[in-house]
Amino acid sequence: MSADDFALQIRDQFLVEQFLFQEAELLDDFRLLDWLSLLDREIDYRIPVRSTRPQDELDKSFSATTFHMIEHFGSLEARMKRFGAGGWSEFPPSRTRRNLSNIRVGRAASDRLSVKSNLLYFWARDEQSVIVSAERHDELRETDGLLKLARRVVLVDHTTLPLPNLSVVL
Amino acid sequence: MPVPATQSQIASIDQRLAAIERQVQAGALPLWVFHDQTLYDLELERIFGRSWVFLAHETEIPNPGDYVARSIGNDPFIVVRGHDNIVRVLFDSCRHRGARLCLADKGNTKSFFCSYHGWTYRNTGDLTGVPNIHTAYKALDLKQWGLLPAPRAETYRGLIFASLNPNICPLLDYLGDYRWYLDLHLALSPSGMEVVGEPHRWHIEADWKSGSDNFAGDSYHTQTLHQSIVRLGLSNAAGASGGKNDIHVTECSGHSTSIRRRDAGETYFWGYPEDVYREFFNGSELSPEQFEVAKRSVVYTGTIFPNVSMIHIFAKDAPDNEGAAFFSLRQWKPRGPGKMEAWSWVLVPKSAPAKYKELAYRAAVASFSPSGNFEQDDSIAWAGVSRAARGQFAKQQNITLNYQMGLEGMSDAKVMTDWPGPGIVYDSNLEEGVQRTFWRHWSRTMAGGVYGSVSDER
Repeated sequence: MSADDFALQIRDQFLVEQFLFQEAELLDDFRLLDWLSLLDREIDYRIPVRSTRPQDELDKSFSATTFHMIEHFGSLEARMKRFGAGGWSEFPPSRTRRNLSNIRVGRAASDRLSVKSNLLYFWARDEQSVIVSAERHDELRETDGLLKLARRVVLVDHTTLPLPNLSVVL
Repeated sequence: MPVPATQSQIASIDQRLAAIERQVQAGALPLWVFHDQTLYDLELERIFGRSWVFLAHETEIPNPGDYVARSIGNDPFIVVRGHDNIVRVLFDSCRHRGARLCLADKGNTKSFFCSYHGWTYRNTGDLTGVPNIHTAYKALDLKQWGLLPAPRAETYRGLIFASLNPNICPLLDYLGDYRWYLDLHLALSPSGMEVVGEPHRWHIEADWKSGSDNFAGDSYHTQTLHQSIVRLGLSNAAGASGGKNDIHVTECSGHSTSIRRRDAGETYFWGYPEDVYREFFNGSELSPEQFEVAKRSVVYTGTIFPNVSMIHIFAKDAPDNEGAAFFSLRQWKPRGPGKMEAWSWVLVPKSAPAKYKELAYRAAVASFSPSGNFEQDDSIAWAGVSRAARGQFAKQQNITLNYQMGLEGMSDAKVMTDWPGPGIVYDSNLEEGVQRTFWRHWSRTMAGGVYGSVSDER
């Protein structure tokens, strides 16, 4: 690998990490409308339903047709706005912490980065708390040096979700 | 691990239960029933061990060899379509040492193999393989050692139910008069309904009965708990209760329903678009009266005792989006006192265009699912009930909840004399007979003796 390539990779890794950490901070701080500003207008966001499949059908573990969330910009905006319009499930907001690790960055195109990361999502409300574990597959679009989230698939490690609702995105 | 209840604890519960049916009829429900270990254990025995319990929809296992792992109460069963195309409900436990056979939630197989000692069963449940059979099991009669089927398994318009109770009445009688209402959904499209993909499953720290109670016809909560949906323009179906066309169906073979309707003469069909209802809903499987009810329907919720509920509704995932109508079956599985596993299936008319099915699925996820804008709020409310129910105060003081709406002097809800369908039907949804129906059936079943359909006893 040339020094230039290496420098570019370091730059991509740095930019992506900063983006994801900032994004996690906005969500954990419940600044949900600010979070929307990190999204590409064409965003495709989904959390497929996972089920345990036999050895010869492992490729079907993540459903192609059923989702815990399947979202576009408008539906995400509606979800986030609902909490300012009397949505009871986040009143008061859950206490959350999105811990990101194993961030793997690749360049898919000159303006596209494909990113895999691991997510440990701590969620607490009242006296209940759980951890949701997942891998995120993201696609970030770069315009004028600014990154936007253009696609996210959250591959959860749960077949039965351990919490009473998924009110805010993972 | 919970300690088994003593005879005196059971006797004390039985004494309390004996009073509940009368209390409920008078509009009072003891709070403690939402969280009590002894009561929960008795529910598994007396309700889930004796009633018809919903397991799956036939379209989840369309091909020979298809199976899904399900449960009756806490007992694991495999629902499998054998190579002979017959659907069976088989206990998921090897006959040799009891180990689990079905290692997946869903799949397709010719046989179930036990990883412990290698006993193998065909997808019909027949025992076909026993290692060392000629030297170690020379006199074994394979026919005697097939997988144990649930004592009863029957289907109704694609819904697969089973019961641990060999003496229960036929499923048709158990659903009884309620089939008139169930058909509004299952037979609306002559092609039938099909499940989209896999069900949602999630844990709620709330009692299973809260789900059944709510969907039995709680028309009163939407205007408060779900007010944000209306504010955002995501549904026209969560407005104020007490609309002039809204009705409640109570005491319908132990099951109940709330229906919100449009004015007479209007065609709405829960909000299906015209090109779908014109082409796919012709009423050929319904009576003219049923078809008329379906035509005017805006929202339908209902519960089949004990723990399968349904909703037919229109929703949008964004205010300026098209939106769609969909049907959902949901089940509240008992997982301990004050704990449930919620399951939800989205169904669409089998013959509807693929594009419509996708739109309907998105509407369903956005409204009724673990992330649903409606359902998110319900689980929060229900958790509060179990939290209050589990302590000393509820039981010691026999705190009761108010189930009085619709009782004498409370509202103007009147029994309709010109309603074409079965049950005791009220001309208003400002009444709680729908929920009292669930609790009456629950208390009777818990008190023993009544398994299967309960007559209306008008």
